Amino acid sequence: MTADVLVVGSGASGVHFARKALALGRKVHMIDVGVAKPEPLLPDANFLQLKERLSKPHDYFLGKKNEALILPDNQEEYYGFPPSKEFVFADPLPRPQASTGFDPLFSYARGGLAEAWTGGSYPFNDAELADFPFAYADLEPHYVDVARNIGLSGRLDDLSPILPFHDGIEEPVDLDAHGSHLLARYQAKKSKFAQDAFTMGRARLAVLTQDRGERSGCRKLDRCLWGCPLGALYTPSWTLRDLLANPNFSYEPDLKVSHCRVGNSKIIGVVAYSLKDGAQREISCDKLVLAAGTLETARIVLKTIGEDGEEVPEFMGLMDNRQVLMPFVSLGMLGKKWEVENYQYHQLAMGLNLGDPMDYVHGLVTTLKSALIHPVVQNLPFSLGTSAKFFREMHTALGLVNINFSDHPRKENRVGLDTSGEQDRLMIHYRPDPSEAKRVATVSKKFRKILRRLGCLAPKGMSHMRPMGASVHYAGTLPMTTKGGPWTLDQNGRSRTFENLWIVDGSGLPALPAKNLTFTLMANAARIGEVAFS
Amino acid sequence: MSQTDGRDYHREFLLLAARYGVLRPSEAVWERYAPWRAKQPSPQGSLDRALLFFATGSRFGAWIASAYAGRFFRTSVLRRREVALLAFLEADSQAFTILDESRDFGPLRAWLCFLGWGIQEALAVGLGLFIFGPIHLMGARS
Repeated sequence: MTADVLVVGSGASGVHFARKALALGRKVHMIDVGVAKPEPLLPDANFLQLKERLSKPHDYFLGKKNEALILPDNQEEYYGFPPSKEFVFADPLPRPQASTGFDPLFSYARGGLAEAWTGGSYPFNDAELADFPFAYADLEPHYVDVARNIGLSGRLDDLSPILPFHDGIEEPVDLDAHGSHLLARYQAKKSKFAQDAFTMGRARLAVLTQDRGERSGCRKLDRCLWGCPLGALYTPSWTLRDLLANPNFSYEPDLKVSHCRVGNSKIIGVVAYSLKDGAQREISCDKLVLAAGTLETARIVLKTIGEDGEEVPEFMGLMDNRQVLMPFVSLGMLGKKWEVENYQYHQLAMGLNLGDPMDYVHGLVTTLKSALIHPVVQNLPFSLGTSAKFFREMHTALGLVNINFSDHPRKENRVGLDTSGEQDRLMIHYRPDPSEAKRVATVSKKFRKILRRLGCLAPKGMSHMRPMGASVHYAGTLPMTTKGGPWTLDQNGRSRTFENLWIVDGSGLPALPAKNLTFTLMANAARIGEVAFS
Repeated sequence: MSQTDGRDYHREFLLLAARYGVLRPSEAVWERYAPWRAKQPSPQGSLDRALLFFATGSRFGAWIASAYAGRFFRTSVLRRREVALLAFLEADSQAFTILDESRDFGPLRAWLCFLGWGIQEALAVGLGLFIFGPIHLMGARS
């Protein structure tokens, strides 16, 4: 098959671009590193049954070498990364990189980084798209299209003015007892919350509530964090499976792209390394679509520029959402039995308006049910035996708000390529906005007040500001803009330097609202697929 | 791991597991704990050593040392070993029930439990201050 378009990367953007191009009758060839997801173990077992029935539960929950063991002095998170999702960040052919102020994560998984997605699907509204070269109305049909494709659930509620409620949204999963309790408290005091410009409602989730094809509706196994074994929680590898059934689509894994070959301001092919034998391969193309993820795409483009004999520039404007994790205890839930039959990830979402739409702060509420307990318990200032007893009796009442902050492009946050050594080294620099510390402190204080009003206690010392890079919502290095300029894309994601190159991943976002960007990446990739290839 | 080390590790293992209410930890947990423990560095400072000495001497000593470490020395070797053991217990097919399953016994009883545990903890920290406080202070001065 001779492809019309070559796509690099099988993540959220790549597969939805390809889906749209195929729907328009194009032939698509996709190349990818494609580290495959392991088969799920005991797919019918819930979280506790998994502990009971697995032959080697320690290997599953902590990893063969205790990789998920979090000790007091390693400044880790409230929940460790599950060994069952290690494939998401596995790098079969590591390349050097150095960073300051940024902890970058790369994914080479089949389905990309969104294989570890928590499913939060929040469309950007017009105010948040103000710096984008298109409006919500341009994106809405693609939000609807993607929602129908992936299976999106949610409800028209108080959050809808901030999270536009479009077609294609199904009924949400049932709230658990803790979620119902919090929502009831919110409803009872809604007018007071409105004074604080705070709203709360059901999360929008890429979760099926009814069986669809090979994917099952959510069976409330409480295994979301460990990887949904039934496919109720969407990941891009499900779309990739569908694409593979299309005769106009071909997929070639085990290839890591290094750079592109250029001729007459056009991309004439890509240079990739085979992971099987290390051999260099050249794959020619008429049209190239990069969907390798913001940092990997930056590496490929920078290397291409260097190989083309030009001075390697730095891409300015790298962005990521700062996240603060705020654990809390719902006092009204104390003494109640913990039920395992639940949907584990965010069931509720929160919005806090601070005036400017780009200052909107997005909160996601997780009721910490089936994470490992040792990372949380060790933060309590008691003996561990007592802390474990406290935790057990407070289990039902525990929750965590993941507070997301927006980011905007700044010149000092940049990605470059150091070509002076034996191997090229990706250089990432990030410095937070000088006002960030004050902003985080103000918002954290407001959230603690909101939680108090919801009947919850959020101890100040337990809040944890995640390092920049941890949210993995990277964006902004090759922005879409109508203003032109070097190393920018036009409004349809087309490179202004190489006329047959489109970039459909987070690189193209010119601003980063507080909401999770994955749903918008999928919708934008589908939009580019339609506009550029129809 | 020598035979003597093995005996010491096992004694420590049983005493620390008892702090979680697990009196007969499974062989699977021991098989996980022993190799991990063998690779751990020895305590360096005098407070680190004193906490471990008490914690591995008796259940009473473990109670006091653990409370002191929880309040004043959360990166101690003792606390690290306790955290690791908690992780191995919570992923165990038998012990997880002790740590994971809560009871439906109402808010009043929950608060009474918390009060009781709080008093116990305060008592242990008080005794710990008496025993470990001077060592801690001396260590800080040197």
